[in-house]
Amino acid sequence: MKALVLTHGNWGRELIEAARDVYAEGPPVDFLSNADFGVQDLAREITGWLSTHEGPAAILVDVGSGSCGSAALLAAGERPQTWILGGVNLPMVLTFMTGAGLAPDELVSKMIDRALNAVDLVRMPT
Amino acid sequence: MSLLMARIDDRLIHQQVADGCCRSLPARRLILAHDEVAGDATTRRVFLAAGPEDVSTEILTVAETARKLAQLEAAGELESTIVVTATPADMVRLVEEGAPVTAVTVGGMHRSPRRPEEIWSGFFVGESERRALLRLRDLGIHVVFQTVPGAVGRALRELVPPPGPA
Repeated sequence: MKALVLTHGNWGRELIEAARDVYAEGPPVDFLSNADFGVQDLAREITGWLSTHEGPAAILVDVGSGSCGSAALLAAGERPQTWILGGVNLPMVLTFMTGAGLAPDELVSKMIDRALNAVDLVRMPT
Repeated sequence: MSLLMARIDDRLIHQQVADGCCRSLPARRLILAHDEVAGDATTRRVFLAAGPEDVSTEILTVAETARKLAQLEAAGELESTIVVTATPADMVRLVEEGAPVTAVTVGGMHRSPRRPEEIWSGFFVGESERRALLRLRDLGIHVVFQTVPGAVGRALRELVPPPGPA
């Protein structure tokens, strides 16, 4: 399975680098920024990325309902075995990198769980 | 009475529109005027889902939007309505179909092979965009480039000064 992180600005690139600092092995994770693209041009870029690989693919976007999510949906179309996950964060990317041996459905489920569990009230105000 | 905002944005409905515009302005209705998206069920669903939760979002053709805006004007609901087109050419069509537009905000026009010239700070134009923007100006419409309300903006007349007196 291959993964693409798609965000506003360049923070997605930094996110991947931070994940690599934690876990240096695992499959490559690509990055694309929506900067400089209207939604249809962005969709074309994503389509180009999808066309380089025939198997399962996951597109991890910052906000599902934003331009990144919309472009990913347009690009994915009817492509089978293509997941789009919103709310990408460090645990989501790390889970992808460390879960190479899992079936795609199971890996995606785990990625969502780990991403959601990272959103937590760590400390109540005193 | 005038529209809350008439916006040109090549990302159609997205965060800057949903949060940046609809939250900072008292929008109750959002209309995307786009012939192709209005006519394709799958693409319509994608962009309807991108609309903010508490704002009524519709996707209509340019001609349908012009008619809808006339109805809203008659009902006194224009000033809570934001309309978005993807291109300056579509906005010109909207105006020429009779839509009550007096001012236009260019919120997003990104670089592409057909838009190679950076007119200002992340806004790109090609020949057709330039022509259409000048047409809007000729129609007496005030055009400003501004990503979201509150951000720095520039008026078209500053970027492309009108021709002086003969």
